[in-house]
Amino acid sequence: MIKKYKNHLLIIIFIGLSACSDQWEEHNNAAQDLNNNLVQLIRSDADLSTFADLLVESGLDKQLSSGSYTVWAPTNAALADLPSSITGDEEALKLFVGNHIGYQENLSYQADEEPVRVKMMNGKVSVLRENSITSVDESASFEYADRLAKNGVLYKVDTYMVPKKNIWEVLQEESDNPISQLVMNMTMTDELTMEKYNYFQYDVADLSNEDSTYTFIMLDDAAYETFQMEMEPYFKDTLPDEMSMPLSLGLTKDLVFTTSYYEDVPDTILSVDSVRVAFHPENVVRQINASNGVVYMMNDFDYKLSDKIPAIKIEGEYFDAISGSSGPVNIRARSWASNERDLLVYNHSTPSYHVTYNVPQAHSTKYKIYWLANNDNYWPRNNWQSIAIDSVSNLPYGNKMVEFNNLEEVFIGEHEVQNYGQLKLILKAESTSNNDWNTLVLDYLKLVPVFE
Amino acid sequence: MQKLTRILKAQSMKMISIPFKKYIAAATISVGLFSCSDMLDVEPTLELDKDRYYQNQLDADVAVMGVYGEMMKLAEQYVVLNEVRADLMEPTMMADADLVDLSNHSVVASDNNKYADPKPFYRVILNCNDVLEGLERMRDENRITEDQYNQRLSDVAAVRTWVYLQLGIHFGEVPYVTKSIESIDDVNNPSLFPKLSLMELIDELVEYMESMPYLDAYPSNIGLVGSSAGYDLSTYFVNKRGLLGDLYLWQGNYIKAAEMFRTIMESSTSMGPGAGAVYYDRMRLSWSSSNYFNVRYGKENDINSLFNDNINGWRSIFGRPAGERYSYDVWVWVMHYDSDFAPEYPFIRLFANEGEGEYQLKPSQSILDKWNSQTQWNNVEFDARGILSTKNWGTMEPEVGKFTFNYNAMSTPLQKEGKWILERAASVHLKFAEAANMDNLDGISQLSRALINEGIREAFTPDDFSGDDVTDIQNTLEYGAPYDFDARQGDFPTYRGPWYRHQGIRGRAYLPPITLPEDITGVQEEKYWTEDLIIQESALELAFEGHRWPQLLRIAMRRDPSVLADRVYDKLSKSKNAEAVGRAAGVRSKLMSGDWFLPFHWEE
Repeated sequence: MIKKYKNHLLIIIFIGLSACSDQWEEHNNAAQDLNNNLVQLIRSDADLSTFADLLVESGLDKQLSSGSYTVWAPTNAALADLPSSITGDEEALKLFVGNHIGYQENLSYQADEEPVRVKMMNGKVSVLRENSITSVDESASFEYADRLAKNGVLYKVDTYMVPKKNIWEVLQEESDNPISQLVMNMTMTDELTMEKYNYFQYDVADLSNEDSTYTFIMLDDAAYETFQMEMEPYFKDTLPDEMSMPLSLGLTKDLVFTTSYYEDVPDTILSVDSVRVAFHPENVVRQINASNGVVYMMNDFDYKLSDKIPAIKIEGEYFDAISGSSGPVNIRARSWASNERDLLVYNHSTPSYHVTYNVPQAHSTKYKIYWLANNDNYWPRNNWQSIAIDSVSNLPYGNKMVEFNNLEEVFIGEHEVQNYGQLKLILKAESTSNNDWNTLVLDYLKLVPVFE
Repeated sequence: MQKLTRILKAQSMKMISIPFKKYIAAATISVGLFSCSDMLDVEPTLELDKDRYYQNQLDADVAVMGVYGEMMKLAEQYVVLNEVRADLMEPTMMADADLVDLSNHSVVASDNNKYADPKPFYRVILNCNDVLEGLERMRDENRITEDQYNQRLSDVAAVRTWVYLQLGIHFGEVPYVTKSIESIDDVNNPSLFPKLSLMELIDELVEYMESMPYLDAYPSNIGLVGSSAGYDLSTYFVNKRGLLGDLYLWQGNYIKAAEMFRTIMESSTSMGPGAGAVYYDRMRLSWSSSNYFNVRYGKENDINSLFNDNINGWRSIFGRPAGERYSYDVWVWVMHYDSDFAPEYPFIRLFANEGEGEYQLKPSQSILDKWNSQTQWNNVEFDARGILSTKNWGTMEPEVGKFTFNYNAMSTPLQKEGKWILERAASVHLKFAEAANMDNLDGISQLSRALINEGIREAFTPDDFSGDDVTDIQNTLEYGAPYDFDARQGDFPTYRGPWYRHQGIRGRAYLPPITLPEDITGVQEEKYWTEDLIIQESALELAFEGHRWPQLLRIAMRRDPSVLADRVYDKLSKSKNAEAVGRAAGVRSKLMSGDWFLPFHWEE
């Protein structure tokens, strides 16, 4: 048995021995490196002397002597043509050097299956692959990789990578652009702390966040004007000369997408507010790659109007006010109901008892009003109820009967909202104190905009 | 035992604070001078020797408390084994592999599944054996009286019997060790202790428990009543008749089982009607307790007005503080866990999805469907006990709630306190119904259904009854003990039977009764139908409390394996976990073939 496999065994032993020697060599080398911190290790490679000098100049060498970092140091040859706009400016230099230093230890083999996002010392995020490091659209290859120092890992790379601005900075820079002006004007002051903040950043997306990825669409003057003209009728307000906050939001919120499409943008993308936007590459005027995404300057904006001005559904159980005691108000659990709940107000003995729903997101346009109100045999009599608009005495549609076991939406009537957000819908009982006739029941109200 | 170790620890701490260095030189010299062997051979004062432990009645009481302290450590295994293997609870994405294996019935010996480990059970058993021997010695040396001996003997024996029943239910064949042994690993020595099968074991346990001289609760004049660490002790000890009832139910001795459960249901009868509400309410699921334990609405139609808190309504069975007066109406056997003393309450970790919780287990789709298929009297289309047994009802991440109602992750995330309710009024009623349904008396299944549905008075009042005289109705006295219930309520002549307030399990949960379909006419058919009703109601009422696997296994063994197999199949096939769905059919055939037990794997 042993004889039969003797040769095999010998070969295995031989392989084992030869493998051993290699490993020992590596081990010894590693041990030498491990006595040095990253700065010392960089110094020890003469081909990295320029980068070592830049480290000292930017003051980051002190930080790099302790802690845990990964350095992708460009060779002297690579750094030879570094422009003076970087070397001459202290801030720019610090950002530049920081763009080659990542937090924590990152070894190339960790990225062999999928790329690893590395947080860099300047706040940006780079992407490590098995054979390269990428900062947005610039990649560097490794001359050597994974050299361990006392406090981190050193790579030698063949080119440098200039840090990009983030989208927010790009937006600030493009101050001639109408979208830029619009967003920058959305500044508000907190009434308690008196601190200023940008409402767009707060409500839509914080485009200065380096850890997120966005695609942002900017429009040129002509495209913006068209878009604004289309939107304005839906955001009418009582201050004709000023740009209202709802309109500013309406114009900007669907320019942001949560994926960074540096290339190959799909033809339909979904904005952060779930509005479908068509992307036509032929309309791209300019592409600006930013550190946390990409900005497309476009000469046309193509969106779906019915997403932009959506139908509104108001659940009966989420009312804003009731006209009398809450005693007779019941939220019923019903499996047929939307959200599995409906509203039943009965035995209230109050003529014209009513329940109010504010509709702050109503656009200034014409809506068709529907309700789903079902008498599921639980209340033994037909009941009649009505919808009032804005005031309980404004009853344009009259009384409507709630039918037994009707799970269909019932058309109530049309209403033109005058100003954005100014709509109250009031569900009103008959003006009798007779409890046989004054029951209210409502699953939901629905407002469907009419596009003419 | 806990108390004891605490005292011992405290003393050793004191020892450390003695200024050692000062005396060490002198001590060394003196040892050198008088190094005679006798002098050094001092009995240790801080470690109790086994032979010197049992001195007086106080030691006996501490030993009994020690047994219970050890038993409290079984809570996690008990609930996990009895629920995760059955159909009402399933692992979440966060569950560890051992729980997934239990749920998927894929436990093999080599996995060392920590829940399928018999050792913790034997730790309690060996502790019991030690105490039993100690007690015997104390009696022989006249350190305690015969009465004192009998009370404690019966209690510790009952704990050991309970643990053995659990072992048998889950492992099928287990070594029956009844004497004090030095090494726990001797348990697994087949030459010392041959294994008994589940049915042999149950016969053995019945014989043993029947030989016990004292089946009542501890009398009120000893150290084992009152409260311990602020927790009332009256429901802390095992109810020996309840345990015997369980054993008889397993054995197939249904009249005796019913007798035993009935004694718990009648535990207020000795007080007489003069005792007031207690007489009618304790253990009777009565409407006068409705303020406390019924599914209740502030407003009939308003789902938001459902009483859903720790001190009102059905949920308060689990949320009520220890020792609170109404808790005695429903609690039979309850253990309290406190963050101030060991063992730690394990259920926050298993069930909560906040604070210290790891959310390893959740309600299965099977039980959610069961609750959702009920309709309450106010037409709400689910069983309110679903909301009240869980947290985050109706969301994608429902939690088992029964164990975590006293946990507040916001204000006191580290205070892991709660209860382990082993037996309560409803579980006893359901087991009584199961036993009665197996009896041969004509029409006895109607009594079982009355306990499930709306109570005895409703069920035994004929539809066409009118008038005042209820003498011949609203009772089951003609059946004789243990099935004789008097639920009469009449004014001419006056009747207020002890059970006149009884409202049944569904009645208490605001659910209409489920009546026997007219097409069921055969006696056997009726019995099966009633038994299925009991199984369903047990799920709705007792979900997650650790009753499920024993009940399904017991009925599967005597009736048909499909009782168990189909329900586990239902859980696995409805799971959102693809692996569970894939295993569903295989598990069904495994359970159909009678392969019910875990491997008895003893890790040395």
